[in-house]
Amino acid sequence: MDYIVVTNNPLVQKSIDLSVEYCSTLDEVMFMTRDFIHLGYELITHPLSGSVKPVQCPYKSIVLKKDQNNIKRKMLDYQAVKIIESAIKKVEQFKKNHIFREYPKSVLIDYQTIDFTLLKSGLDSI
Amino acid sequence: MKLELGKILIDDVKFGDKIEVNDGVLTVNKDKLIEEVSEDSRIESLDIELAKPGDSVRIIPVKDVIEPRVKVDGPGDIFPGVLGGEEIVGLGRTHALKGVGVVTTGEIVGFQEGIIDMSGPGADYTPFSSLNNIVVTCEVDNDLAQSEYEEVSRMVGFKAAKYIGEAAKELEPDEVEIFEHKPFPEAIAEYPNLLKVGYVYMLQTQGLLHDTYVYGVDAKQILPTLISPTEVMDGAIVSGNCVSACDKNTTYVHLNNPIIKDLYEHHGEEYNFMGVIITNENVTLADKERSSNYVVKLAEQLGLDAVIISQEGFGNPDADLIMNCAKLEDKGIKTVLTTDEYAGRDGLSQSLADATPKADAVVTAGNANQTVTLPSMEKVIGHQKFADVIAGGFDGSLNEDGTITVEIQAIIGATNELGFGNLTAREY
Amino acid sequence: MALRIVHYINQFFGQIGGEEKAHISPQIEDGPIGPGNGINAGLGDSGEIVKTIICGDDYFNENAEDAKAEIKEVLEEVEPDLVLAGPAFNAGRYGMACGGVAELACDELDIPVISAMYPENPGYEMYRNYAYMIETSNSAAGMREAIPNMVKLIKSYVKKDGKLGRPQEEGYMPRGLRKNMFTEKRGSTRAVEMLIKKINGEVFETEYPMPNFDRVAPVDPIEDLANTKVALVTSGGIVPDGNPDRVESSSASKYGEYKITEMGETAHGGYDPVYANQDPNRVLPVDVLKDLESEGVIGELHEIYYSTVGNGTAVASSKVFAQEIAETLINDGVQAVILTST
Repeated sequence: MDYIVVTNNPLVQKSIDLSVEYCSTLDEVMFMTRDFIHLGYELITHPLSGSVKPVQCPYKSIVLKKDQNNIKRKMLDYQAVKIIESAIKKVEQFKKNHIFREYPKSVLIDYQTIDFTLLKSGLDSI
Repeated sequence: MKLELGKILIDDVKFGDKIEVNDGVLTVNKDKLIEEVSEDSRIESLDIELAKPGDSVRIIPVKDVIEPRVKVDGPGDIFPGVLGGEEIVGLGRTHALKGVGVVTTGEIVGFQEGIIDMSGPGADYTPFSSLNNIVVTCEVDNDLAQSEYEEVSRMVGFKAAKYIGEAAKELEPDEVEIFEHKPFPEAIAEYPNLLKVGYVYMLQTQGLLHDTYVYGVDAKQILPTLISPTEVMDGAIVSGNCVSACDKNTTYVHLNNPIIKDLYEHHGEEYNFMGVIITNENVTLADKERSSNYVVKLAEQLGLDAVIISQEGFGNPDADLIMNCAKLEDKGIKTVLTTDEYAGRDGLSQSLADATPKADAVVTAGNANQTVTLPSMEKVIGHQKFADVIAGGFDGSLNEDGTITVEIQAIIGATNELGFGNLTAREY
Repeated sequence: MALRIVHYINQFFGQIGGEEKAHISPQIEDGPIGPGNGINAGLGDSGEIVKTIICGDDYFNENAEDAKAEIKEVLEEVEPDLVLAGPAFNAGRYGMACGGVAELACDELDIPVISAMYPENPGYEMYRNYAYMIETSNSAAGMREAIPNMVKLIKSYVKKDGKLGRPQEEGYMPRGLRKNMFTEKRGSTRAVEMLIKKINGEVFETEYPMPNFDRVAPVDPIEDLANTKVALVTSGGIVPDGNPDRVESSSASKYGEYKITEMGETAHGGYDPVYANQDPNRVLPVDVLKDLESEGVIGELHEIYYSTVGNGTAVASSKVFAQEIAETLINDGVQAVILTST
């Protein structure tokens, strides 16, 4: 399958068979997703999935689809651009009020699990 | 489908020898209740405590709130497909213990959330501070997966509510309300001159801790479908949504869906309330497109002229809300949206993650990022240490004097998007 | 309580001079000056303008950091209860200065600000979060209404102890600030009532107006670029050497029409001009398009380009410019335009 997952979630990286673009930060996930969309990739899952607010949950996994035809024709999906740009704005907003702290490892694992299950819920329906 | 909803008004709850209702006082045998709901072998310990309006009590982290109800007459049972069988509900008679909430708490994940303060400034933000709450705290083996713990906790709540609800079976209600949902040809014929109005009921369906069940079916796997308002009152929709305390729809709010209730108020006078379309909020854009297309199709099949659309959650569901709105408006079906906002603590950011100029009628339940300082309480039921890692809490939110400063998104039901509460926001 | 007020005005209303004095740095005077006299008289016991800061519009916009530092010093010393700025009407640079002062007072010093300007003044759009801004007409002819409106708002501010009501009831323009409140009726009831009004065609007020949309639907892609005549249009301020049409560095009131061979420098005041002046192709890519033309990728590059300055320029002005430019381009047989911004 021509799906790729852009993620900064280590649990996703080691748990799924799809090709993974692994990022070190949430910002990087957002910007890389945006760049892929501009290259003609199709956005499959919503970048603001999950009710735990971005930044508070440090992990995010987003599925894109590599559609050779679109990529060749450089077809741009404006709706996807709109979605990722608003998501980036929301991340910026939540960053503003967030004071960085070290989460205990168990909490990090919980966040990873939640992000992973949100991703799986998306993968299950494609 | 005709449902008589008998209300038994309860103004106090206490522990005693047996479960009974006398003069508005509900007595519960604590040991018996624990025994009734503890049969799951995965439960390690389970405790029940009471929290009453005005008490200096904080309940944290709350997973769900459920109103005890019992099926008195008619097919099926409360919470069909979950506890009851597969019979269709929404017919006959149901009794509800009004003024009582069964509250579940539990340490399912480390960042859990959900505050109910029974007094003080926090009490103003949650509708559940006015209930006599029977709080079930349940612990499981540490090694149990989060998904299993969530399921255990969810089922314990339903079982407790059902068991307590049974006490209302033989009682004479203080008040009876009758709701009727007629077959469509009859419904149309009854008020041929009124506009046909419906309700698009969006359910949170993104994955673990973000799920909603309809007759026990995980709603992310459904196509949008029709449901009778009376089925909702019998518990056909239950919450498995534990995240985003302020705007998740607890089972209590599903049972008492205020939009359904208020749409009935003017039914037959201002419009013809035809029914409810339930739909989901999945994470893939393809699912969103399909579900919103299907909502429009159902609305057109019913010949609806206008709908109210309610949202559950933030971010991803904003996209579903806007798609539903834009596609319905494109077909000439007028929409009113109910949502809440994440405009930042300063109120200056854009409230939703999506927008359309077609959404010209929006009701908002307020800005969930507003902060509030909650005084310390004499008693904490649950786990206060979570205030620090709670959604909307932040470092130092558990202050030294015992007060906590949180965004109201940490408070259960603070910005409920079904319009259950009175909080709202306006531009200044 | 009588408020102690500091009033910010520009060189013109400060009775120092017109454009020729726009370069003056902040001057501090005791008591009210110019429009401040009317405001002060209207306020009576509610408050008093104790100091007036007069600053040239060019000085403020071109030396923002210095100007703000000087004004900050005054405000810190006087410690006023309220800062007034303007009215600025539709004067773009004055409006931007009033907004800049508002940002400084409100954000850094926690002093509330009341201002007044025309809704299309870029100072409103940019700084509306920081001040209660009264709507004025687009010229100083509106002073007669502006002053009593400002006085009314200040009095209301005093009476309500700073807790002003919503924009419509108080008469200021919306600040884009979402504020929570409890209402009498629950949300579902309000939704049903709104639905009834909407289906009956009655007037209703949405509780959350969607953000302003000024989106342009993308046109169909060009199918045959090799036979397309392409023009360049920019809001990056590229003009011939010496800026012969005097396109303003901000809040532009005009645009220029030039030959692509005449590019010289930028008139733009909103970014560091060094690199654009070194090579204007960085803003208006004539060089690359010439290459594409000779490679046959595009049919032809139009020999005329259009340029204005986007810095604080009112949307309404931009629309007028664009309509005129588009018409001329169509008449010249141009089929596609590349817009560059900075």
